[in-house]
Amino acid sequence: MKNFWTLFRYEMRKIWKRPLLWGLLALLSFFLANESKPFTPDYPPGTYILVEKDGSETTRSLSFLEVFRLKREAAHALDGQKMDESFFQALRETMSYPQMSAPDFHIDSYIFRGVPPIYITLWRYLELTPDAYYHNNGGVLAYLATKAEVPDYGDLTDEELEYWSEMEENVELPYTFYDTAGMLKFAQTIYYAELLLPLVVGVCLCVLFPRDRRERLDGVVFSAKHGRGRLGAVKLAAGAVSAVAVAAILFCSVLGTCLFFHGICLDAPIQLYRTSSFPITVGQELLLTFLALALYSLLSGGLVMLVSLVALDSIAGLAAALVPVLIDLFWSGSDAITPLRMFEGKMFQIDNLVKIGGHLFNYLQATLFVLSVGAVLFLVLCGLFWRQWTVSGR
Amino acid sequence: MELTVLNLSKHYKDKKAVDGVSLRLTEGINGLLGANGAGKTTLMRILCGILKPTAGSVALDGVDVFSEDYRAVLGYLPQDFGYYPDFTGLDFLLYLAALKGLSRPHAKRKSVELLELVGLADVGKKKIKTYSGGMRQRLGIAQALLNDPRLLIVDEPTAGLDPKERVRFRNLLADLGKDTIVLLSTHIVSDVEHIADHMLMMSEGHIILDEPWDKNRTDLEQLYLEEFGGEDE
Repeated sequence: MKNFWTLFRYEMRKIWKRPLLWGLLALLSFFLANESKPFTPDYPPGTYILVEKDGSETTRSLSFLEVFRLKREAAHALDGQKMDESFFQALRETMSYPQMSAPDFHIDSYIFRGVPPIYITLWRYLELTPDAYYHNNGGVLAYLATKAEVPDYGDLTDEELEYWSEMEENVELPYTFYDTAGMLKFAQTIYYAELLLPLVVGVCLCVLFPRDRRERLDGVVFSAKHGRGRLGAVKLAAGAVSAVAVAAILFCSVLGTCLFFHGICLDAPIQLYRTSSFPITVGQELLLTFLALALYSLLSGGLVMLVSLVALDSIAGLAAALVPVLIDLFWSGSDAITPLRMFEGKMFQIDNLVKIGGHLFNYLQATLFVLSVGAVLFLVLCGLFWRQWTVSGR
Repeated sequence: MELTVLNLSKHYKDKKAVDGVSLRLTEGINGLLGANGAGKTTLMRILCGILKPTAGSVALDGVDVFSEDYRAVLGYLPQDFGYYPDFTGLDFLLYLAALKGLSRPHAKRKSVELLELVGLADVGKKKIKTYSGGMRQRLGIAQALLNDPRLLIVDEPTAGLDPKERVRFRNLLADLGKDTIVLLSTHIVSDVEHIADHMLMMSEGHIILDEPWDKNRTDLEQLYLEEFGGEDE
């Protein structure tokens, strides 16, 4: 391991000290942040009458940021409450249609009447009970209800229904309420991050292997003691870390904006916004989504490094980055599992299962497995080609 | 210490760049003269383990050319080498020192020492892209010496150097040659005439002259013209 980390730092510097890469990252981060914010400011900056919970009223001029802060706080006013009968009863008592449709309805009218903007998602359920809510917005029962309404939707076998029902036994009922507008926005926007990820990884890593040759330094590098086997390992490590870093930057661009504008409660069950039977919380979904994104980035990065190494051409590596994007865009068929569809939420939905060796695997497991195997395969192939190219002689 | 080259050949589709070369080189300056296209650079790249020969073997005191131990004692200055534009001269040396296996403190000490030696101490912290051609060549010479090589292979090392620098570099090589095998490839007779201990001449992939050289001899140019007079310089 002698000098591994010293060389690693130099390789990272060679990858990252490029204005083109930072310019692209800044541009895409801005784009993703813009997509993650509310489409239109439903409450623009201006003068509002603010009614405190005790009924007292004040008139204040609110800036753009203050409006969002108040809106965010209001949205989370009911967070952590069990969605039991008393919760729905309280909603029925505090919310009423005329208030919401009044012409002068604005931010104060729900902040102060103690009715946060959950009406956006809950007003349709004012007459519901916890059980009825679950039928409409939950796991297997909601799935079956949807299927009854739309016969072509879904086609689970009895075995698959049993699998999901068993998994759902670990979901805590009644649900605990959290405002999930932020997570909903995140789930919609992370799709764009996934779509753009291979291109950014391509720009990031296409120069890693061909650069020494392009700069006419391969002779000096390969004649050095560690210029072969160890340098190959260092380059692969730097490439892998950089690929994960790109995934992290794009992921954080989306998550950061959603956190700022909407707030995200990590403890919320994902059933509040998905038809899912996974007994996981928003925090766990975020971790799993990042894991999948990082693996996808590693897979794309591995492909880019492999092609650029074999061709000794950064343009070829960059072109290889288009392959995952093209698969996403042109692979037709409703059952095709492309990376894009995984990130559209397929990983966490109730869906068909893959049967291997008598065991059933859901899409989340299949996705993580396929991405891991693909990433490892490309990285191993890179190592073998590097060895072939440098160690065994050219 | 002996560099042994046995029946070395490198064949491309329609050309024999190196053809059946056998050599035994010991400490001292070994001049390698030859016209452009004679196969000097190909031979040197094979001796550095960068090119795989079609046939033959290279070993330094029995250590194979493709081993890490061989590269640990090898210094190489290619004829045409580049640089990382956003690296400073010092960064460049520190990076290559790490590649050559030097510890950080040793690398730093050695890099500073070599920058001083090649007259780049005052610009060591400036980016290489601001260097002139001669300064870059001197930086290349410095990197080749980072690991105190026992086998130093330099390909056209004086290209781009002004006359004063060439003299200084020749003296440096002569000094290194006392306990190092130096293989100096050039097509400039004056670069090797007065410092070489052993002279090699190469033509069309073959070694056509391999003999000890008397530094006091003054007929190298004549000899060179006799051997290569008809070849394109």
